[in-house]
Amino acid sequence: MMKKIQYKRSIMALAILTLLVGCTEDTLYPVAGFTTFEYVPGLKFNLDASESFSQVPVKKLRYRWDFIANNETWDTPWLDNPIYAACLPNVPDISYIQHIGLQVKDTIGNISEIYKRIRESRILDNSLFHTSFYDGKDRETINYGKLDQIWLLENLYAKTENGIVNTPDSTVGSYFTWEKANESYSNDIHLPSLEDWQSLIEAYNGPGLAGFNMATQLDHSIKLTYSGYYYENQLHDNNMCGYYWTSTPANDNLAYAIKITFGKDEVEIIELPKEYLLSARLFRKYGE
Amino acid sequence: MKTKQIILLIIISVFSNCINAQRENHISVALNYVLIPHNIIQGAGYSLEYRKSFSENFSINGEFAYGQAMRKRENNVVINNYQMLPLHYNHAGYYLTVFPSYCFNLPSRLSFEIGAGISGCYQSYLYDTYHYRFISEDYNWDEDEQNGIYFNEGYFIGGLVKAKIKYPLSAKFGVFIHTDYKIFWQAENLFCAGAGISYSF
Repeated sequence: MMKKIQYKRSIMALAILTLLVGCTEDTLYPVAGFTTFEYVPGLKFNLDASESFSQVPVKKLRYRWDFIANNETWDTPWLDNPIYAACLPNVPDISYIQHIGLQVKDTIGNISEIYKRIRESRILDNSLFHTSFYDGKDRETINYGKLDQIWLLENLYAKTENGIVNTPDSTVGSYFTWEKANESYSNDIHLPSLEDWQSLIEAYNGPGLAGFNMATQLDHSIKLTYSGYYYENQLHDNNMCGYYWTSTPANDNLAYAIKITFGKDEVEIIELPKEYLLSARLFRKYGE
Repeated sequence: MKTKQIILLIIISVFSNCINAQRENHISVALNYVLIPHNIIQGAGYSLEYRKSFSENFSINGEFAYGQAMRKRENNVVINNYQMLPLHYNHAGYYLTVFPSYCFNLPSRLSFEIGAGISGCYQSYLYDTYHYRFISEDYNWDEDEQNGIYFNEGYFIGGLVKAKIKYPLSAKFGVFIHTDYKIFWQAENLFCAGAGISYSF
């Protein structure tokens, strides 16, 4: 009788032991991937990790980036947005190929990582030179070979007259009504159209980043200024926003203008009354 | 006070048994099936055991064991130009275990033995956390395949529970089947089941 009880107890112990051996499988890790673009040192460009995904349903991903790619420190904290506007420093004598690292982490903490090469863009190569522009003076210009465009690197300046205003700050150029800005300064040098601006904005990594890239004062930028606009004898938004005329009218009273805002990466295309006085840039197309 | 009395009684009973014990010792060797529940890795191993009996039912055991296990976890899917590749899991370990055991006599000359004790081990555990490949032509990848590897190696301490059913073939030799489950701090737990022969002297 005693032995029977012992036997049953042993069987029970074995069963408990079997229960303890619970088998588990690790959750599958997420897949890290991102889209690369060519970059221009000092300008912002988008790193897009939208193609990363979790292999397990309903697992939200977070992202962090390594620009210097030394594999020791990560240059951003964990971010919820897969798109990040990065800016690689302009370091002389550095290889034109950089390495960018991405880590993705799911909600249970599984982390995958990927490193990719990224190349320096040649779109603005040898872009800075001096050329005789609208007034016969030697002025700094920037050459966009792929766009077949040469842009002046400073705001247009003219003597004060009806429709043209100057402020004591001569570095920001003059303010023009739309009619005055559209006056041809020579046969081939003129105010850019909305299309010309849009192609330039695309070259500066799209409307989401072109505001920063066109206003930064580094080599490859067109160096727009936050000089505001002039209306009713008053300067508005000075040091806050920059307004530039396009040659494209919106209707009889309005014309398209480009607006950049200090502290924002975006560039806006807006419609303004033609009698407003805004900054102007001149440009030239190859072959004109 | 009551606890102390119980401990004292156990000690006295163990040592009194030692004095009157049959002094029957065993060595045994067994081949084992090994299962690591974490990621379900299976393999094989062996164990060598020395058993010193202090009474008809009570003995102290020392065991050395080796186990090796591996697994290829298939994940053959392609998602958004990413081809998932199989995950490989590899595990090996040496185990040194000491445990007391108690023996029950069953019908038909069978005996059933259970024990629990402490175990120290050296484990090496290496496995892929992720493994995939981008299948479109993108020259910008640093490597064609992306592979994350987890590695855990070192000495660890833990415990085990063990059960054994033994059948004597002769006065000296016997055969047995056994199973045990080892739990380790910060290392992989291990389930073993096997069969072997023992020699008494």
